[in-house]
Amino acid sequence: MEAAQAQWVKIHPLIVRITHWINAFGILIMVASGWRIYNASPLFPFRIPNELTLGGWLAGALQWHFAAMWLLVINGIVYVTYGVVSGHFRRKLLPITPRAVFHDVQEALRGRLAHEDLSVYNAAQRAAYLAIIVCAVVLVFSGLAIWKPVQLQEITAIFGGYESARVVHFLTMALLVLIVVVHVVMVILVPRTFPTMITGRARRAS
Amino acid sequence: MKPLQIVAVAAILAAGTWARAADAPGKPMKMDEPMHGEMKKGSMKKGDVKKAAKKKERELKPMIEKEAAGSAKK
Amino acid sequence: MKKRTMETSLAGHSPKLIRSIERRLFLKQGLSLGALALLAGCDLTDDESVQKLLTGMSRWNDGAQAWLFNPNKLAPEFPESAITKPFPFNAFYSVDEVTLVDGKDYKLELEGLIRDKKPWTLPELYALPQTSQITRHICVEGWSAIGKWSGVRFSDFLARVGADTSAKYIGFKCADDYYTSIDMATALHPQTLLTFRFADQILPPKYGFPMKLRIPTKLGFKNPKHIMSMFVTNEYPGGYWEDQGYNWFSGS
Repeated sequence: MEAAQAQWVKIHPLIVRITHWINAFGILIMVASGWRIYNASPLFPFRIPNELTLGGWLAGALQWHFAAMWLLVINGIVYVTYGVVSGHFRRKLLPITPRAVFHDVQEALRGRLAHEDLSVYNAAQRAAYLAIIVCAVVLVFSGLAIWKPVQLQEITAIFGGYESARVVHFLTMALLVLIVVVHVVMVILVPRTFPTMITGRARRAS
Repeated sequence: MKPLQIVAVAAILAAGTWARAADAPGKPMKMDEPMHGEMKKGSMKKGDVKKAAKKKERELKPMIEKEAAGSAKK
Repeated sequence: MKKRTMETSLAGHSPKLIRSIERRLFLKQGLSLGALALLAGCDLTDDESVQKLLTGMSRWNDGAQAWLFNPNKLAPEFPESAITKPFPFNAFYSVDEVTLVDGKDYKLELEGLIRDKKPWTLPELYALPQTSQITRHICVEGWSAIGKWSGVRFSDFLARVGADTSAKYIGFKCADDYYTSIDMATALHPQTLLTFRFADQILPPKYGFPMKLRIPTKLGFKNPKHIMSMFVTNEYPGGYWEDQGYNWFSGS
């Protein structure tokens, strides 16, 4: 049968694949070193186990944090510029409606979400990937607010001051980590999506 | 008062003074103890700062004196 | 807990060995996160090169912060009601080991690229025009506290003693052996004060008697207490925490 003939289609452009993995690496360093920094003066009545953190001590963690920051700055500029200029964001992440997101999340929870065409993101994916972008923006600005509460005090003021910017930075990190965990779980549940983020191609029945 | 009572009162007073002095701020630093606070790396000792300060002084002093002498000539 | 037992069992070994074990531990923590898998190609086992990269990035960050530093940008000031009470004590030693400096014999020593190196007594310093600020002190650990400090504007003091303000650095040596240094641009910032009072009282020993350089545009550890001498230089002086790996500029 002709329909059974498999066809390779390109679904992830090279630039998206490269920035995705650099981003994954950078976020891992940011989160792990950030947890160590958090431990030096915990905002909440808990500490992160040191085994899960990066840097060995406060100064080491700060070095990792402020080094990975630049990696993510460059990577973020490349990704966002590409996403906007090429229309990648518009094509892949839009349109998105709350109703569609609600529907697809329910389907996903029932294990019934279809993943036939990997080149098209379902509404739950779109919502998750958009949320990651929003989290990243909030993390960048709340981070700047904590790092430079004098030079960039206008940004700090947006978050209601230094202390509340710390809370926003931490909670946004927590939300981002949650989304990433769900993202990784989904990849494990639909394993054929994994190689596509490396090769960029997926098999599609035509 | 009996001599024994005098000795007892004196001992109590001395112990109290000693305890107060020991508790008062400004007692000498125990240099071989770990540092205080979250900035330190696990193995750092309070005495490390003194050692590092002496080393720094040795390194910088000649340079700073030379520099100051050089600028005074101008 | 695990780490602490490790440290006690390491007591008596050479600092070099301890450092190398610590470094290995630190790398293991990185590895446990799967960082190695992502670093494939980059030789993470060569820990010296990773440390070199991180130190290099920290120097780069010094430059970035110096570039971002606006000499006219003022740190936000707060009303008296916002002052943190009690104001936290913080040092590498506990509060009962605070260094006591005798104010009667005290003299502030000046060295390096300064024209008039005459030492200053406390009454002479107190006689200079004083100004106050209520600003937020931010610690590199993350916490912050608002306090009120009063003293002489540091740029005025530097002008008075004829400091070479075209030099790059000012270094400080403190009675508790602590030492640090700052960039000239920050030293000349209008809110950088050589302070003798905290909350309208003569600085108590725990907050740095006889004086603390208050720099609201820098993190707490860049604000030296118990200053005994200062020097102006073009040679990078570093500092205790800075030489251990904390970022030197550490601007806010």
